[in-house]
Amino acid sequence: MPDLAFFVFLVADGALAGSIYALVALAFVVVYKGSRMINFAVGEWTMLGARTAAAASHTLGLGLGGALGVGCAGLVTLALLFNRIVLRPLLRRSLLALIMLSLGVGIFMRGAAALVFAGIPPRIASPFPVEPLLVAGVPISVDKVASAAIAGACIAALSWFFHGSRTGLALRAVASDQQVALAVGIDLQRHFAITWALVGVLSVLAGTLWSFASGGGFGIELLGFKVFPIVILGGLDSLPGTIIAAFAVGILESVVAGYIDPIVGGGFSHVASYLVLIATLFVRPWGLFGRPDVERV
Amino acid sequence: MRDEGVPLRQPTPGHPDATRPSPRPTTQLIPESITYGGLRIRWSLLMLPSASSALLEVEDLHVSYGRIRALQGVSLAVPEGAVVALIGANGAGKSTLLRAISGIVRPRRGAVRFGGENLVGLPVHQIVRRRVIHVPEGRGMLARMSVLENLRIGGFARRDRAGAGAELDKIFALFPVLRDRRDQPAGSLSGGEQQMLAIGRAIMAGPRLLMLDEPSLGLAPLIVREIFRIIPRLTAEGTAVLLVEQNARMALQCAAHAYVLETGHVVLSGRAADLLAAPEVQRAYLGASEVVS
Repeated sequence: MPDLAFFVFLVADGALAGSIYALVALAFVVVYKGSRMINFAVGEWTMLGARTAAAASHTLGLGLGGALGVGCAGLVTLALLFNRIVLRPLLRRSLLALIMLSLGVGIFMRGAAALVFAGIPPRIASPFPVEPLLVAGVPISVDKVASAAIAGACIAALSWFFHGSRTGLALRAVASDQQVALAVGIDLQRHFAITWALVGVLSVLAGTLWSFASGGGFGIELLGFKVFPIVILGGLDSLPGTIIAAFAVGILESVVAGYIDPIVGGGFSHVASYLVLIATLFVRPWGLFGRPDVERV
Repeated sequence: MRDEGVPLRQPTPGHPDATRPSPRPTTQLIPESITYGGLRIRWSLLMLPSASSALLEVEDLHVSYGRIRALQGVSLAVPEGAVVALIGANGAGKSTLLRAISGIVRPRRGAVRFGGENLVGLPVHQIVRRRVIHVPEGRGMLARMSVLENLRIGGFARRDRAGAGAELDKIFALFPVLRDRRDQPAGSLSGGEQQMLAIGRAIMAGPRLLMLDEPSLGLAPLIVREIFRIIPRLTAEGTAVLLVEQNARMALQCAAHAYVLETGHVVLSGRAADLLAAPEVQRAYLGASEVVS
């Protein structure tokens, strides 16, 4: 393969992975924006989403659409219960308590998933053709392209939801200033619940798409570790920043895996995004797309 | 019927003021701790809102923050479509009173009746839905959201979208600068423009009672005047306004009734014009160094 074609392949491959990273990162950011909670269990939520959809597919014999529907129903219910029973009593506690909680919930989810889904295949069989697509001589897997297309559609729908709908406007107001949101008559608890319902849906979609695209790479729950550099680079509370950062990290990993991993013997691609993260924190602690809080008073 | 003018602390029997005839009955105030016999009742009948006609009635409200008692039995009334001013020094409890009415803090005792219904214990968004709208001190901008989005969020609790659209046109007519800056982030506006936006956002909700907390804070006199000029326009449409101000002169000039709050108590109340002329108000709140008798 010529050098340029190899580079293009790496970039395209990375961008496709990035589109799924973006979905998981958005699940993290909506929670952070809504309640300032750092959800370290975002990878486990995604894993649970994928496994619930897979279980619906394998045990109920549903097609992709039906499995995703059942998965979403299950995860949304779980997320709403989590918000109502676990989170609400802790809402006025310190952020540290919420972080510890999310870590504990993550560990619990891994254990529970292994128990509940024992013996059920962890992934839905990909409905897309196995033969790779040849784009200008560069082979690209159909799984990845289709997953990226669906992820892209989800991101577009989510952007419309936040900027074009009444509920989205209210969610952004809650994220911006809870006191103001209260003063204009927004029911905060109701909107926290909507946020967690979104997390449920995003977990199922991102988890399932990742299981198509990754083709048996690392465990889905480790997807969470991909998300932290992304959300910090993206500025933690900027939705467009998060999406751009997700693509950037996806491409960076892919390019590093293509050029540097063979030299150092592999594994460097997983570290690369963290190196960029550390460098960013030195230069722009508020992320590439976040803004330092400077405003006129 | 509840008498708005009844002082909260009962006069001491045998107090010399209780029997002394008033020297200037026509401009007499109704102070809390001093009474002038029958005059008190007459004044309250003549010009203080009676309980049955008031849109908002606050009765014996007590609010504490931990061991600090911020309000200690405050009663006041805001009649339909009237401007009522609440003046007093820093820490007197003015903002606390507004926060208790809008449901942000829960009173320890007392009632807040709006249109006859007790609001105490209702969640904030339910109170907003009854069109009791609070513009907090510091204006509360959604700094990164656009001016238009800030206004749209103000109409969140409304059911009628057409009404919100008409309201938007009205606000742009009142404050043309907001129309010019509709797509800018609210955080980039000047202080005066932010105050206009905060009031505009409150108007979007179609308030029956609008509570303004220190709208003049930190603004140039010219801008303060521009903001105050819209208050009569609001009342002309039936909105009642409860105005908290440290700029007592400005507040008393635009209000019909006024209450003076000191350390959690109403110490004076009456017609705004009378308070404006009252020596104790002039001394304490209007910066007069010497009162000409």
